[in-house]
Amino acid sequence: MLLRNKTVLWRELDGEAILLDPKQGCSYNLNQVGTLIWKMLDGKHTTADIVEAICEVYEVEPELALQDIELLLDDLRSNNLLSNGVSPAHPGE
Amino acid sequence: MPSPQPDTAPASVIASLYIQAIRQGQSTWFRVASGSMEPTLHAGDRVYIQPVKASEFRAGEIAAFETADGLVIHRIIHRKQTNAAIRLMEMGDADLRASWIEEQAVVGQVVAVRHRSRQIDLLHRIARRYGAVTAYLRFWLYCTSKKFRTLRFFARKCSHFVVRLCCWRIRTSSASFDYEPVEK
Repeated sequence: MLLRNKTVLWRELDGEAILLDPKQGCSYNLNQVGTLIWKMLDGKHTTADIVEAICEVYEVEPELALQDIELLLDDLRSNNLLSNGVSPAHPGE
Repeated sequence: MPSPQPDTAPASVIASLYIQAIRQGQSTWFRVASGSMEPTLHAGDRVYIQPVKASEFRAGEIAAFETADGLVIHRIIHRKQTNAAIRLMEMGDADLRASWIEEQAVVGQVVAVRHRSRQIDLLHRIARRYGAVTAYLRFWLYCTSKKFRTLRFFARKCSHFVVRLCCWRIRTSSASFDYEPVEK
């Protein structure tokens, strides 16, 4: 299961999330797709759930959606925006 | 690609997130947006803010407080205890204008400044002492300029001189190249 870093504060504005990492003093913007993914990083959803949700909302192939999700998760992880010790759950796991 | 993009959100939203974080007890680095604290703080400098209550403030310390315009960082030049309430008088280092802030508006204290490759520890005893000297003299100059309008120009010049002198002293005595946040 995937979980947001609990110390990261965020707010949604016009469908786009603004994240603040107080420890680093850095803020980030996510576009609407990123925001949809971010909202599902609540510890209750797997990557497969996120792929499914994205494919329901946007016209995109599941493989491409999965690729984008993994890229975003890598970005979030490298910026310390995901909870430590949580590895992405892949579809079929 | 939905990758996170740094620092393009409206400043007011980011400021409100910072206020929320500090009010929840988290210390944080914050980027200075204006030149109202020149020459102590420059636009683009990063300041480390720790959650501190209004009652713990002493004149000379730099406070972060909430206003209608967002998070403001100015020096406390005077404090007044009235019955159970505390009122703090704030002033930016760049000008001789002051205003009172209410206890509830105080969010935290600036304890360190990063300017280019240098970090200034504002909890260093010399920084504290010169901060207090700055506050005392500027409060006196402010009161004088209010009382004698003809001295306003002179008071402003003296105020700039005091700030520059104390800022130079703080920088030369309390700066380091160590980037670890200072704990109070």
